[in-house]
Amino acid sequence: MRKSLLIISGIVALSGYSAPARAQAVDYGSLESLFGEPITTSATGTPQRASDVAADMTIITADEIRRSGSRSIPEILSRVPGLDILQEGANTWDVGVRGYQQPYQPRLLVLIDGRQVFIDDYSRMNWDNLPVNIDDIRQIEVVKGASSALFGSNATGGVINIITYSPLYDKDNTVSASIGTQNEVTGDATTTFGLDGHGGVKFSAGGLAMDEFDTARPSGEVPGEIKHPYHRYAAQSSVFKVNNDLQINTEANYTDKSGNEADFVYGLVPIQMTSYSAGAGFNWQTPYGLIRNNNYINHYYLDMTYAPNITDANTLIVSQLEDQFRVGADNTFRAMLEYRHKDFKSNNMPYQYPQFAEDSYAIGGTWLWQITDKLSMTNALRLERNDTAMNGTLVADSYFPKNAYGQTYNTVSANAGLVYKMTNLDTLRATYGRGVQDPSEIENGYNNVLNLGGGVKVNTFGNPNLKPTVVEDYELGYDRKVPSIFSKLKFSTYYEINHDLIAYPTVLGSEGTGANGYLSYPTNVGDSQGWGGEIEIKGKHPSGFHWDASYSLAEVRDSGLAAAGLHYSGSAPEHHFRLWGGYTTGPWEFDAHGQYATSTDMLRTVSIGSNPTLVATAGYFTMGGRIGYKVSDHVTVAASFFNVTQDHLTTSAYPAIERQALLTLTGKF
Amino acid sequence: MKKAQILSAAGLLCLALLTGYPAQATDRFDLAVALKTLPLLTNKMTNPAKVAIVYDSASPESKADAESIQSIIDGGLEAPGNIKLVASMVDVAELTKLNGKQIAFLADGIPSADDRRIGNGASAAGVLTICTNIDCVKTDDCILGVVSKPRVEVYYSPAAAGRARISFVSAFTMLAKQVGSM
Repeated sequence: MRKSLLIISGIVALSGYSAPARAQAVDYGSLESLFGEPITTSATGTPQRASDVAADMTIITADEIRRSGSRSIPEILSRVPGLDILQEGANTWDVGVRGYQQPYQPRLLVLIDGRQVFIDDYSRMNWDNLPVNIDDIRQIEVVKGASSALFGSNATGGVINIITYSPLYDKDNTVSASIGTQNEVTGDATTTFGLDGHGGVKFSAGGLAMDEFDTARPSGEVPGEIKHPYHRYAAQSSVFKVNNDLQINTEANYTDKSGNEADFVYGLVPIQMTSYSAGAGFNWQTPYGLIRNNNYINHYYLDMTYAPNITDANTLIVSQLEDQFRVGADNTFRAMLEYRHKDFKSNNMPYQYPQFAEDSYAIGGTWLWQITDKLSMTNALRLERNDTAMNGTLVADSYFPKNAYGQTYNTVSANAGLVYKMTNLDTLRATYGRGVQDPSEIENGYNNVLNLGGGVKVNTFGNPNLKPTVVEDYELGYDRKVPSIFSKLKFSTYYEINHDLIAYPTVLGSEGTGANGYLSYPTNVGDSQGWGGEIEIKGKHPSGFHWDASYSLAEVRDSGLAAAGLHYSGSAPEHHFRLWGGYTTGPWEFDAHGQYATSTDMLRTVSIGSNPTLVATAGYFTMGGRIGYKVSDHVTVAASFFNVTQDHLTTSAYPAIERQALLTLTGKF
Repeated sequence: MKKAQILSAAGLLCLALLTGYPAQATDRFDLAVALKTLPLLTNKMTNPAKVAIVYDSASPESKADAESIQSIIDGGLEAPGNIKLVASMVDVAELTKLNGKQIAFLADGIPSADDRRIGNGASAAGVLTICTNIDCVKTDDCILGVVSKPRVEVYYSPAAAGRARISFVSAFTMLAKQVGSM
């Protein structure tokens, strides 16, 4: 820890500014208003118009979020072709990309305002534990395809960057309350204090409580109590303008949640989780470019409240320094240095807390070359060195000796893309991505004996000799504006290959036995290839109608994963149709949405101590909608419906989801 | 004779193609785009903002365009943030009247020979010059050039901005098309 702080101090000192600080907010609102389309930094790290990016990107606007009627980000993401939503409980979810679905999804990196909210312990997301008010989100940027040259490990399937309103530029003030079926009650509020043009401070707080679905579950599936979902959060962010060239940003967040979620061995378990984070950074316009510094710390405390009673603590410290600058009229560069420290420890052991730690040092850059008015090229490269270490006392009879955990490995991530604007209406994209997915801390450095009950004990060890998974993807995209029908057509096709996927064994004991029971450790198990594409037509008519229709195809072929605890082929629907339409008239807003998805085959562990097996799920159709009424310029009341066609709908290997309705009152001031 | 006429016509066509940006009357959309750049200045605009509409009295076309701009602004056009605009027409022969102004819209039809004189006058007065004639930006005489159709484009001359001591937030300068000397 002391070493980490010293390195952060060194980077900050090198940058020429002594105060710790964090990344700024771009004035998205003014730029979007000027250029007539959303602005994003998620493709290259530098601001770009959405239509110019060399990536398959979808931007979900604040209006689309509001009209989705949902208070959950995964439900909002379910409208994006190419994303697959796995709902495991009333408020627990995983989001997969292009056919690669699993609980504790490691392939989709998620950030809020540039801060990673993806958790490194098992490499996963807690979608039900985000410190964000849905009404405070300006836009959600979804990038499909490997992007770890820009964002680092785990951005192998894609990246989701959630952008909230800026305390400096937007002055967001909102309050909302909802009641619904499953005894759901939610409340969220955000208020922003302006500092007379010298800055702004924003506070958000909120929470949710509801009953877990009471759908039938196999006997003994969930050990111990079923956790009824709740979530609460508090978040603060601020931007201070020191002068016209220098802004300082800070943030602090707290979240807490419980729920029943599918874990990395495909069991459904009750979990409680608390997280804290804090960050600071600065934005400094200099003659040498825009220098940005971003530092933050995330701390998570996990309590799996079932038989093994696993309690883990996980810490991530990140310090980033970058310079964005232009050379001539046609070349934009971003040079980047990054330091990352993460550590993980299990707290419930009778011995001395083995603690796995990893320090990563990255250098990288992005080069955007506007070759002609119509043709641009983007290149990005990231080189990373990773040092791992194990501290504390290991479990007796550890399969790997302590010194084996001291490893160094280097990785290379890259992206390249060409964008050709054939006409004012037609754009072609060709992209290549090479992404790196480091082993999770559990896969790399776990060291424990799990007592699963019933006399079943498993010596579970992280494997320090794992190779990172490397994902390469190739994509062609074509966008066409169709002004005659006020629409935009978007088409993309891709091929990707995943090398050296990592998994624990499917069958307990297949790796032998140790002093205390079965032996289990992960290995690089094989490869997988995916191909497919998406086609979408989306538009809005001045009369008040809007529409979004899409079809996605995702085909996955695994190679060598048969005996491994990993199964991607068929884990998500091969064919997925989505339709969303709406109409606005006066104070009324009407929206309806429907989806049809084909069958899946997903691994599932139905009781603790058993091995996961493939569970087939038939295709399904679901629909919902929203009716909103503007009571005044500031107040809206809306009724939202989800899965209205059936009481209970089986969408995956996990318990069926229930019909839901929600009544929401929202004020914006 | 016929051959000479054909050659002349071809020459004029080539000239027009080389120029690339034929003059068009400034419309409300162009002005709206121009005004949307104001929140992206590092120094915020005062309210009301004082606007000069620059024209050349020797060019009836530019005078007509200036009168059209004046009419649109007088019709209640505002900048983002409810910033009101107080506009007056300024002949290129009277550029000292740019003093005290914050923005100068250049009417279409101003002869390119005037661009340097306008640029010098505006930079001395610290005025943000905005036009729809991109050549004026390419020669570093105007700071911003706006195109509103079919897709919004903003052309930006860092050299002209530097001379007028005007700066924009970096995100804007990365999104605008930088032209002129670097």
